Amino acid sequence: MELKFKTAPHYRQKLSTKRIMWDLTLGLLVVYAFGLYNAYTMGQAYLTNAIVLMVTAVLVALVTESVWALFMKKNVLEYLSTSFGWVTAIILTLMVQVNTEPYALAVATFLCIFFGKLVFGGFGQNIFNPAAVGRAIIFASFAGSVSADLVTTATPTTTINSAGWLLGSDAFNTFLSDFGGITGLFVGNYSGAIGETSALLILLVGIYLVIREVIDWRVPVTYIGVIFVSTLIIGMTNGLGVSYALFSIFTGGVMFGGVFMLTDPVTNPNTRSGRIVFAAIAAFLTVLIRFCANYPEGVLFSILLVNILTPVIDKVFDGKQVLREKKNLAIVTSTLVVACLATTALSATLETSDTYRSINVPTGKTINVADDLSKYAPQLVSQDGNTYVINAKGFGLVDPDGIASASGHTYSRNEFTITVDPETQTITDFEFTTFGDTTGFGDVCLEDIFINQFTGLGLEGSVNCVSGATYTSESALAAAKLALMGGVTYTKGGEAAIGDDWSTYRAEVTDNGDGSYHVTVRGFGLVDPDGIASASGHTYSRNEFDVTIGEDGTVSSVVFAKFGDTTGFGDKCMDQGYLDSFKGKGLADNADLISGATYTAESVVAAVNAALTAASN
Amino acid sequence: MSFLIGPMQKHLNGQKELTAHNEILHVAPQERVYIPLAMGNAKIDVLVKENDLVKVGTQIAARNDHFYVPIFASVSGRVVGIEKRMGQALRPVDHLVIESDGKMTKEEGLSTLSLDADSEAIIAFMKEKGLVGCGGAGFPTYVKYQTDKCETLIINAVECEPFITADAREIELHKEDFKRGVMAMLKASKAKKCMVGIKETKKEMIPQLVELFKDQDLISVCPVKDVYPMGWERTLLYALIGKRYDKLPIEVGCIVSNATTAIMLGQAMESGMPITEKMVTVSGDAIKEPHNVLCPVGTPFSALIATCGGFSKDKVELIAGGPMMGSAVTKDEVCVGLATNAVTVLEYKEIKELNCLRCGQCVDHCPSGLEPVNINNAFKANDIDRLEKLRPMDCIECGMCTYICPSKIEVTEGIRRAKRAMALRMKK
Repeated sequence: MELKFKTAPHYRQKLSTKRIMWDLTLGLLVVYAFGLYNAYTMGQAYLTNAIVLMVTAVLVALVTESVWALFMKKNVLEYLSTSFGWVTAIILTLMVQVNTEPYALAVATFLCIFFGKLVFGGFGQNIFNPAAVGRAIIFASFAGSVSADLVTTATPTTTINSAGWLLGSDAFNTFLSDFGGITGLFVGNYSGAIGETSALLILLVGIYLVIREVIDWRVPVTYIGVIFVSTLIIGMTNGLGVSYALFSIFTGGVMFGGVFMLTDPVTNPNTRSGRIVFAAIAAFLTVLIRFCANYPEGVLFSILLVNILTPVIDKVFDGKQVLREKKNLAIVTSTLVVACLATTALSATLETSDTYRSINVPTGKTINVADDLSKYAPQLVSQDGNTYVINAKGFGLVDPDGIASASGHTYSRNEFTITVDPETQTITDFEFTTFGDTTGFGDVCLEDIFINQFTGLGLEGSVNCVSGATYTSESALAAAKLALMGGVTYTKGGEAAIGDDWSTYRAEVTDNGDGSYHVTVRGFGLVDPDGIASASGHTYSRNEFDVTIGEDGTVSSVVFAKFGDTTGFGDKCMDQGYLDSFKGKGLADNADLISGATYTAESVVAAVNAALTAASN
Repeated sequence: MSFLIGPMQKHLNGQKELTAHNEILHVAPQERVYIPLAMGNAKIDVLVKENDLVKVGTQIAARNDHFYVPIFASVSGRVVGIEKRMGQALRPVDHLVIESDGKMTKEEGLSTLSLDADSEAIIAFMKEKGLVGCGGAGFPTYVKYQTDKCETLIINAVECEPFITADAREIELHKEDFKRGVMAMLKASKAKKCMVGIKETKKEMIPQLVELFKDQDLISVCPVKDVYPMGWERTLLYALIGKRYDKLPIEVGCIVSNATTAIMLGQAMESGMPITEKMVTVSGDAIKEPHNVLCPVGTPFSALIATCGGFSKDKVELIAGGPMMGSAVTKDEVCVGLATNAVTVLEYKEIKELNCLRCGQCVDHCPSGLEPVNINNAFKANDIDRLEKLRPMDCIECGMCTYICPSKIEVTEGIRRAKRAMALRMKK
């Protein structure tokens, strides 16, 4: 019987670091389970990859730490069980998307365990949250390392980031409906990082961890609370309601970061007041990075930045706590107030973006604005500033294969009201005002899922047809194209005076007697500047037009009869829209030329000149 | 405000059921008793010599420096001499050895005191009977009462250390003595009121005490939370009257005395006897039959252990006091002193220390409001400026930081080292 000596106290509570870390592991695995379910709804291959990712990360972490233990001449199993490397691996896996390549995750895990933790002295000694370090490595170096076979839709934060973070009220509602609304964002059935989507589940796990004394509730409550209040202020000063603030906290890893990463005791301050200040600063940085740096990864970098501040925060709160109650209250309150209100200053510099292109698109083929849509013959009906009323032929009038006329149904042109922003040359408003095509087929194009694609559409853009209503879809796009081109169907390439000497083009006029004149005229091919045309080997002939002159001596219409120039170049001039630009013009006026088809355009001008001259005689 | 600074207390699993209600044993009379002649570093004058005959209550020694504390024999018999034995602080200390004649004859003609006596008389009586604080610290009681500034007297019946039930059993057994002692202390303190602090979980004791003091308007029974270290002066004072002080409770108009000290006073007033017998809780997870035992002052721990059936494990920690603040002794020859109220026997377990995970639990729960983790780190880094700001000298070594540390680190020991280093610097 031995009387052993130990210093007082001789009593210990049951809660141990091991139990804390295992509880944390359990919570993380619950969140991972939901991530697996989410992956499963996307397909078997996604589920497999999600499992492979987790296994890879955990293995790499354990192997790295084992090698380190051997190198440091420590008992491997004991070292592993007190270094808790798998926790970092699990958190890191939960922060990546399900289609990440396993090798990228493996490299990032190795680097963050080694450089983010082991070289500092192992568990308890690191400055940065190792999982955040790993995620930053993936973000910086492996952003493109996603599996080509596993396609995921864009995450909410990436989507809203490219739209400019602050959307107008309508645009924001469209955005929300793309992801299932606020409820959908809360429950988590959308594309995002494996563990970050379900705000509901993370909240429940967070409550469990607080009860089990694993995390300090002050950190997630402060972090999420300050972001909520800040975005509420920003939203309300820009006409958005509480759903904007809710969206801000449910997405982008705010809940995950607040519950699992900012609560990491190793990298956060060791006083309660310090932790509140820590979380408030992190929240402010998240909002700042999201809005001002226009970055989808606000949470990640705010965690790393605020980790740097932990020793400073500790120093600020140093001392005998009992004597510091008033000081602590002052510092904490002022930090909270500043963190929430700094964003009011922020919101003054932000502008809402009203253009949001929904990621929900119809399933038909993709058609481009640059395509040849001339068969739909869009016409400008009227123009009021930047708003154009345009109609275009639809399926019924284009009538491929004669089906439409055979049906006996009466068709008319589809009409649209389109507003364009001249500075950005994109559509800001698109309305399908009159439907003239087949009910039950083409009218699916009246639905928002098709129409919403036109917001923000530019000349280089494209839209998806509604499957089964391709002609009507193309009709709408033709109208959109005309509006984007400013109501003119041709790209203007300078001007020419109609009254100039156009004798080079040798126009020959035949008076039809009824005010219309048939004019034949040389074109590019026969004028042949620099001899290019004859060198090409192509056979050219004269261009022929029917020009009608009105009683007032101005052009009332120009219609082309025969094209003799270079197909693919000069035939732009045969566009009725271009020919219509001559309407109402006389010898004293200027006519538009077409970019890239100057000679052919000049031949039209020459023809018009000849007709006008003949009419005046 | 535990939102910002932590609760500074925690409920412990007290395991008091082991000795709260079972039989109180009498330790078999020993051949010899060894009365400790140690009170910190004070000078003690021995007043008897070898072969003198003494009775129970005969004065055998006195502390004679800035405090006067007489020390008395606890058995009748013959003085053998002075022997050095291991004391509770693990240093060899002088003990007066008395060979017992087995008769326990009491000294006669000892002065008593009635409750009619005035404040001065009561304080003088405390001094004459060598009354010291029975809460464990053993401070001379009369010194505390030499003041005019007391507004509130607080009687500490909290007993927050795990395992210990001695105070509770004493109160249960000696209610009238307790009442007499409390009333005398109230008079001696010249306070306007008296609050008896007791844990709210003592559901049977509280109504009994309320009944006991129902005729005393100035004395009230005040239940407090069942947390450690509620029995510490500062924590109890803050819980009862919401005030904090710098060095001594008298700064906020309070005197705090232990409940057993009050009982000892009550008994001395009635019978004239000083403290000669102690109720000691012998408990823990490595003693076969945990009990409260009664024994004369100067009984070796080995006798107490034998009375309780001996050790039940091979490797044990024998602790003088409770498991939180008691010190482990390596020889069972250590003897019961005037302020001993517990011997705790715990199974010796190797505890593996993990890395500090900076969770801040020690900071949240330190009753003094210190930051143990920062003190340890500053000490290891030799950062003296930061160390001074952190005030390690305010640490009372209550053990809460080590208790609560999930990584099982010896936090308190680190603070002790820091304190020693700072004390050395201050001496220079």
